[in-house]
Amino acid sequence: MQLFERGGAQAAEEALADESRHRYLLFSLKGETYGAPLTTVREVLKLGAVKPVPYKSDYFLGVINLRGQIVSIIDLGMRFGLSREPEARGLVIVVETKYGVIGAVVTDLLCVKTIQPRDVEKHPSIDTQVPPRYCLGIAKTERGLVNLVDASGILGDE
Amino acid sequence: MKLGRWTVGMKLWTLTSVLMLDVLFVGLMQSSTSSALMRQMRDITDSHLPAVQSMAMLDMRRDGVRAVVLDSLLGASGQDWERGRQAREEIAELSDAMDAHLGVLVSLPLLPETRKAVEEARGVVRRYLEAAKDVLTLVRDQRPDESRARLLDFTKSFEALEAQLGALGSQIALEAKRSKEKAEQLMARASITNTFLLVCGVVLGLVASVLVVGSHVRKLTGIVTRLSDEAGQVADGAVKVNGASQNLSQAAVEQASAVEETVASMEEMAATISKTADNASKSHSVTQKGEEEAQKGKQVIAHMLAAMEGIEASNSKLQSLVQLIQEIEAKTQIINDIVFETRLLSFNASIEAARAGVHGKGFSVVAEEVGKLAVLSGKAADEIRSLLDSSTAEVAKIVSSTQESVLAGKNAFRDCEQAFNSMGDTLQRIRDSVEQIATATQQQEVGVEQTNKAMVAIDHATLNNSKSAETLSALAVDLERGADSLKNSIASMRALVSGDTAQGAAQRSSPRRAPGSSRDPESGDAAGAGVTRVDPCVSRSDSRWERAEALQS
Repeated sequence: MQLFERGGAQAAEEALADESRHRYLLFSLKGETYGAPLTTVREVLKLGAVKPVPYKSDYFLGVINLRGQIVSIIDLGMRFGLSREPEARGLVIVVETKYGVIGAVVTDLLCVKTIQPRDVEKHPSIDTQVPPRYCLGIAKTERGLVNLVDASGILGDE
Repeated sequence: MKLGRWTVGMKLWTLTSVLMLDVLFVGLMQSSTSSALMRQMRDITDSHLPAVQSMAMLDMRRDGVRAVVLDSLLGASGQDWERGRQAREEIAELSDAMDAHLGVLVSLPLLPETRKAVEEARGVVRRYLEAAKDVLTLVRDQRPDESRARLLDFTKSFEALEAQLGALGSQIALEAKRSKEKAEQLMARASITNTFLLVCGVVLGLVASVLVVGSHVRKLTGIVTRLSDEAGQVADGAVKVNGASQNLSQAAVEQASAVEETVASMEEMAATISKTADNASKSHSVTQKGEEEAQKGKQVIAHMLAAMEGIEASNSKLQSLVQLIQEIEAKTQIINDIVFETRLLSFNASIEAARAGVHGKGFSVVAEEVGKLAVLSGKAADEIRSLLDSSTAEVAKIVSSTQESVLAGKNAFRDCEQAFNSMGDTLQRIRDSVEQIATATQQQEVGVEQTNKAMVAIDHATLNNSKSAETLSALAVDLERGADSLKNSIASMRALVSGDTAQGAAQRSSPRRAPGSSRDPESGDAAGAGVTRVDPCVSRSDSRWERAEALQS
């Protein structure tokens, strides 16, 4: 688990920058740091028992019962085509998509960060593994480069 | 069979007795014949010859008397007194002589007829002599006529005497002839008898010699030859015995020297053995000390192992500490989980705050603070974790290193223990070996003593052997001498029996002797016997012998 290294003063500054739409949930996926806009994220949770459902897509892991709601779980790495194997840790970001509530399994949750738009580069020439339709841009943070992804469009092709 | 036990001696006795009897008979016959002949001879010599001699003398005297008478008659002039006296003396002498002769005749052992004739002759002689004397007297007395008449008487008596003497002589001659005939008869008889007896004897002798002597002589010859051979073999044997006795003596000398060497070696061996025994006892004490040291070492090791075990116990306590740490780690893991959940919660809170928009700002701060707290907790937990990890690592390191050390130490100590054990075993084995060596050396000492005794016994036996060799040699010399004398006896017997010369016998037997004497080159005996005395054995003047003999006694 990566530690959060920011000091208290900076934290206060961040808190005052209340642009919640500029707040992103940073997570790592297969070694790369990604960021999902907080507005799209409903919640995060740790996976318990996934009920497997036979489906044709291999990134589809199953469904869970989240407080009475059935949520489909997919493996984001597999969805992005980053890997062939399902994620082991079971950290799920529950996002709202046009097709409903989807839980995306990621490698690790890092932090919630406010990223100013000036730090975001919508440059498609950077070679990432994320298909360009998901990519919102590349953010420059003190962590490094963060791929900002539109989590709500991850099931765009379905 | 009685005849079988008729030994040669008896046969010879019989033969010789028979021959002796025969000879005796012959001798007796001869002696009787001889005595008879002697009697005849005596007759002849004692009676006949004197008789003849007397007769001859009588004849002579008679003739002498006649001669004197005639002579005196012739010269009877009567004047020659001296002549007449001489004549008378002569007649007296002659008459004495004739008387003497007649006396002799009478005294002779003649036959009675002869004696009678002698007596008659005596008478005639007396008359004759008287006539002669008378003549002479008459002549002396110068009475020639009476003397001539007396001369006629004288002549008649002379003729009568002549006749008588002739008769006596013929009588005597007859007697002699008779004696001779008798002797011849006796001779004839005796010769016949003797011839018969001699023939008998010869025949008997021939028969006996053919039957007895011949065969026995053959047997004797055979026996003599065999004896000669045997004597030769005895002589050879004597030479061989001498050679053997010399060999024996030499062997005894060699044996004695070998025994001396052996005794010397035994002494050296005894010295070596006693040295070995000393070394063994020293080694024994040393190994005993070594064993004690090994025991002490083992004890030390046991202590060390106990200490090791103490360390291991503390190590295991450390391990329980590790367990504790792990439990703490587990708890921190729980804390981490809680922190994670809290983070999630804060994320969710932030998300909700973001979704709440403006209203959620304070909440988002709270969420963030919560998140930070969670992060801090997480950090603390992580620090704790890391501390715990490092502690665990350290402790694990310590434990493992201690374990390793303990293990190594245990192994080392076990190795030491094993080494000590093996050393102890080795020392034990050494001690056993040393004990065996000590026992063996004791046995060796006993053996050496026994060998020494045996050596002394062997030496005695050797001395006896050499003495026996000496005796044997002396006996061989005697044997040789005896063989020589035997050979001489046999040679003489052979000479006696078969007429072979001693040289031939010696030549026959000497070739057999040559090999025997060639075996003995040191013999300088020119007689070819080859038997020499053996030198006496070496004297024992060595001090070791006295010791050994003292041991023996």
